[in-house]
Order: sequence, then structure tokens, then C-alpha cells
Amino acid sequence: MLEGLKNLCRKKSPWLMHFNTGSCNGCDIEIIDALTPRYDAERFGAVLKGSPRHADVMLVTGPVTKQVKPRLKRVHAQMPEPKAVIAVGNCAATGGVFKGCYSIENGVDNVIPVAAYVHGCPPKPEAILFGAVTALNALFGD
Amino acid sequence: MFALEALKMLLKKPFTWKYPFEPIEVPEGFRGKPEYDEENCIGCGACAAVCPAEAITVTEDAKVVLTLSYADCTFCADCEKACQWDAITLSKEFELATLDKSQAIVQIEREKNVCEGCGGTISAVEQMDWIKEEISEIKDNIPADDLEAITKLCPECRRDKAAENIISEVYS
Amino acid sequence: MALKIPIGPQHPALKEPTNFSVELDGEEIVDAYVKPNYNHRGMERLAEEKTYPQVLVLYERICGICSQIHPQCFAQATEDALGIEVPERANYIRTIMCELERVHSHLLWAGVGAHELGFDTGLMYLWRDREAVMDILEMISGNRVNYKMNTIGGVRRDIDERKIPMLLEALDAYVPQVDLYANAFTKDPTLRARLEGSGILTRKEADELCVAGPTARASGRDVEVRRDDPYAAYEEVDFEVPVVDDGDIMARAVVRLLELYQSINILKQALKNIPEGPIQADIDEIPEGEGVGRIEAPRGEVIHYVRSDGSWYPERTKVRAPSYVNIPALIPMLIGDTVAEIPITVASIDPCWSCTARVAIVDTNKKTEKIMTFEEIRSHYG
Ligand code: SF4
Ligand code: SF4
Ligand code: SF4
Repeated sequence: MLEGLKNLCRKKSPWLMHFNTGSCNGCDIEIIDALTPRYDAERFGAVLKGSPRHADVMLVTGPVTKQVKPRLKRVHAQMPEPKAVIAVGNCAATGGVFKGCYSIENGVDNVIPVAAYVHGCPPKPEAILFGAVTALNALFGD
Repeated sequence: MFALEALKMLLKKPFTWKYPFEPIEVPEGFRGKPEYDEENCIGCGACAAVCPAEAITVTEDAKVVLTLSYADCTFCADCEKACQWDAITLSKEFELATLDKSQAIVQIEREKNVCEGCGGTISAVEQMDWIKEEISEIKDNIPADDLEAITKLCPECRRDKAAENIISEVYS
Repeated sequence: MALKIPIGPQHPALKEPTNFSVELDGEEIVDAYVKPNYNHRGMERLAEEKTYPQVLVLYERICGICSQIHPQCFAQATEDALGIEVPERANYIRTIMCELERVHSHLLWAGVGAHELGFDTGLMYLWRDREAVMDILEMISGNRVNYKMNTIGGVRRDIDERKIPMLLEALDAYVPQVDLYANAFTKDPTLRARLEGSGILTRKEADELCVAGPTARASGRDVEVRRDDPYAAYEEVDFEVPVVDDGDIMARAVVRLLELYQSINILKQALKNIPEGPIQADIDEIPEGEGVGRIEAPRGEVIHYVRSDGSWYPERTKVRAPSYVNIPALIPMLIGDTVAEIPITVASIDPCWSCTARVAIVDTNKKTEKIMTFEEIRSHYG
């Protein structure tokens, strides 16, 4: 009962954190775009937070460079449970066009567990909203 | 400074789109999820060769199978441009989110011609039909033997056969 | 004993991972150190394994904000190396794309700048108006970011003649909006108090560090590739190059806002005078050779170098992004300021870490040496 209420709250107001792991900025801009007037993700209670300690959901972009890998792990560890990671963009999913570069990890799921992927290069802000909704429904029940 | 702008905006319709409660229109020529055309594709693999992200893989087990993973794709439309048969197009679908990235695939299967020599792959059936059509004009210049070999043997076996022929000619 | 504060690589004020550390005496910054290599992906190495058209797609993703500039610069360098003549219409379309990108990038910058000042209303309004130019870009190219308009020897998509009146109308609607922001930035007392006199880069420092783009022009350093070494169709359009001498953050904001007017002006001229004709050149053979492309990106001069060995694969490519020369300029800007100024000072050069970190690791001690090398390239080919 209490768990259900908690999940409902998490679903109704997910606090997001954005982590760039070496992306091209395309996806980062589209994430911020999703919070600006035309898309206004705050309609759904989504707030972008600066600190991992406040966040429920981490939006990760980029193919995870070797330099950033330990930081990504640490930031992920700092998030309170229950937490979820959404990989935004195809380079976060598989490395995308950067596949084969010597200094990347070919996707976020090689470093930390990922709950959902938003495909696109970059995905439209609408697609990011759609992806976030899909992920939250899967994580915290319909 | 923005007080006036804010007042003006109060009188206007909301700027925010209603998505996801109302669908949105994407413009003509939008580059969304790539789709294969069952009818036109001849299984030549040109799309796989040009793809900058190695998103398309070709496997040749029982059939020639082209697998496009849109988890790798960059939505550049180079495949669309490379395909002479208009068999791959980037659709307007943009709501692409999955919980498992191995689900993010589009596939097309083509029957294949089996090599009589080794049992390997010569090419997809449709591609062979196209090749036959293409060479029909210059058919008379090609020895009948070779012509048959093209349709029955894979490139490796053809090479072996040619080598055998040369050797037998030299030593006979 | 000075206090040392590390900032980043993950920090609320930073949109991309970087690492600063500043040395403080009380609240005053006495020294600063920048480590910008968290985005290093190794793209130049990967480019050697891809064909020219594939490298275009890869280099588009050097930066999602300059996703017209980088592939176009690479295409220009390749065209230079292979001796390809680009058709006139393609040149005009490239010019239009470049300027649309400048409009979107400067609005984006102004929004981020406003956000760093704690002025989120400004961010929301600026990004609201940015959507209009994003729609135009999406309509022309089929994607909001990473347009894939360029190909070696021209552009891939044509601009529909029927859309031109609509585009001109949309651009006219921009002018009053830019007026609004120009007024807000230059007249508002709070913003002026924050922006004027902080983050100063003197003319001398600007020259020594060879900064580029609006950062240079705000310190009185009059460099502008569009005028000095015209590419695409810039020879055929009239525009002015705004230069301000103050060198503070306000100057950098003013230069960018004035450039917005110029970009709208260039766009109108280009859209009206766009000639008929093909949009792609035919490529018959790939000779050996070397080529250099130069472009004035929203942040400054981009240089691409290509060496061809006659095959489909470029033998070597080299990219120099403008933030590479602008980031060292942060150090003189930050020294003498207070901690509260760090976010806006950093934002004021509009740094693009993802561009820069694609280059090898920047060693602050060796920066002069590296800039020298690029100067040599420039004097050699410029
Ligand atoms: S998915 Fe594409 S647009 Fe997004 S960060 Fe990666 S390369 Fe850039
Ligand atoms: S989609 Fe086109 S290019 Fe790809 S295999 Fe089919 S016919 Fe060939
Ligand atoms: S759109 Fe580009 S990246 Fe995607 S499958 Fe086609 S060629 Fe490959």
C-alpha cells in the first residue's frame, strides 16, 4: 500500500539528473529543450536537478569515454534507491557512430545498468518525453 | 524588461504543445525509423556497405537476412540514398524507445541461391535475377560455361574452377 | 595559504564534463586550471577507417550545436584536396544553413548565459523563440540537430522555392524578438551590474592567446573568416562585422546579439538571390593531395585538414575547433574575479567541450606551443 503510493509519487514527479558522458551535445540540448516552453516536461512533474542525491532518474547521453567512466559509476552510486537510468540517444545505447573509437565504452549499459533506451540521433524532445513515460511506466507500474 | 512580454503572452494561446495528448506533425522529409520495402529489396547489401554506424548487418545462413538495428543508426539516410531500388526509406516514426535495445531492429529476409560446389551463398535470388538481366545484353560475348558458373557457383568455387581449368589446359 | 576548489567534472553549473580548479584568496580567484578532456572520444583515429561520406556523418557529431559547420568544413577541405568545384546553388544553401545555425546557436548561448545568471525567465523566452529556427532547420534538412545536409561536392537536399516566402516571413518576425533581448541585456540594471566589468580579457591577452570568434571580437581583435577568407557564398552577400573593445562579458553578449541581426540580414539576402542550378558536383576520380577548410563557426574559426592518398579513405584528417583556443583564455578572465562569476564567465566564451576534447589532451603548460603549430598552418594556407 505504502509502496504503491511511493511508486505513484515517483511516477508523477520524477526528478531527473542529466549526465553527459562524452556526447556530441545534440542529445543534451534536446533534453534541455524538453524542459522549455514548447515541450514543458514540468507539466509531468519532471524537474531537472543538479545533484545526483536528489534524483530518481538519470538521463545519460554519450558513449561513455574512458575518462568519464569512473565518474559515471560514482555519480550513479550516489543516487538514492530506487533509481533508474535512461540512455538517451543512440551513442548512449550502443556507441552509435562512435563505435570503434579507442577511448569509449560503447554504450552506458557496459558500465551501469540501464532501464530504458531512447533511440534517435538525437531523439526529438517529444521522443525523449515518450521514452521517459515508457520507462517510468515500466519501472513503477502502469 | 520581460513584464510586457509576459503580459502579451497572457493574452495568447499557450505556447506549449499538447503532446503526448495530441499527436504532432513532423515535416515532409523527416528522417525517422528506417523501414525496408518487402517488394523492392533485392538483398544486395549496398545499404549495409555505406552505413557509417555499422547499423546494418548481413547474415547468410538459411536465407540472406538484413538486420538494421535502429539502436545503432544515426538516421543519416545514406542507406536510402545508396539503394537504387527505393527499398529502404526513413519513415516519419520518431517515438522510438525500448526497454531492451536488442528489440530495436528492422529485418528483411531474402531467399538465397545456394552454391552447387560448396553449399555456400551465391547471392539473394532477386539479386541474381537482376544480374542476369544486366548481363543479357553482353551475353553473347561471355563463354556459355562462365555464364552458367555465375548462376550456379559462388565466387570462391568459380575461382577454384577457373584455376582447375587452367591447370588441366597447361598439363594436358 | 590559498584555498583550492575543484569544480566538476560533474557539476550543476556545467552542462558538459570538465574539470576546473580555482585557487582562492578570500573570495578572489588568484589562479585557475582547466582540464577539458573528459569528452575525448578519438574521432580522428576512427575517421581514418571510414570513407569520405561516412566521415561526414561522424564529424557532424563532433558537436551537436555546430552540426552544419564541422561537416561543411570537412567537405570544403576534401573539395580542396580533391579539386572539386561546388555548384553555386549548393554554396548558397550552405550559407543559409550556416547562418541559421548561427542564429540558433547564439540564441541558445544567450539562454544558457541567462540561466547561469539565475535569470531563468530569460532562458525560457530565448529558447521559446529558438524553436522557430529549429523548425526551419527541421523543415529544410529533416532533423532538428545533425542535419546531414553536406556531401562532398555540394549539398544533399535542395531548398524548396515555395518555402522561401515563408522563411523570409519567419525571419522578419525574429527582428522584434532580438530587439527585446538586446534591450534586456544592455538596459536592465541587474544584468548590467553582473555583466559589465567582469571576466575581462584585454586586447593584449586576446592577441597572445589567439582567441577566435565573438570572444576575440569582443576584445577588439577583428578576425572574421567570413570576411577575411570568404567561403561558400559569403563573397556575394553584404554584412558588417561587429567589434567591441571592452573585453568584458557584456561585450561578448553585445557582439553576439549584433551578429544575430547580421545573420538575419545575410539569410534574407541569400534566400532572395539564391541561383538556379545543380546542388551536387560530379566526382570522377580521387587524386592524391592535401586540403584545408576554414569556417567561421558561431564560436570562432574552425579548421579542418584532409590528406588524401587517392583511396576512398582519407589518409589523415585534423580538426581544430574554436573552443580549443578560447578555453585557455578563461584563465586570465577568471583571475581577479570572484567565485560567483565563474559560471557566467565560463559560459561567456560559449565553450564547446565536446569539440575541443576530440583533439588530444590539452596540456595547459604546452598550450602556447600548440597554438603556434596551428598558426603555422594558418599562415601557410590562409
Ligand atoms: S546520439 Fe547522436 S546526437 Fe545524441 S549525443 Fe550521440 S551522437 Fe550526438
Ligand atoms: S534495401 Fe536496397 S540497398 Fe539494401 S539490400 Fe535491399 S535493395 Fe540492396
Ligand atoms: S540511416 Fe544511416 S546510420 Fe541509419 S541505417 Fe541508414 S545508413 Fe546506417
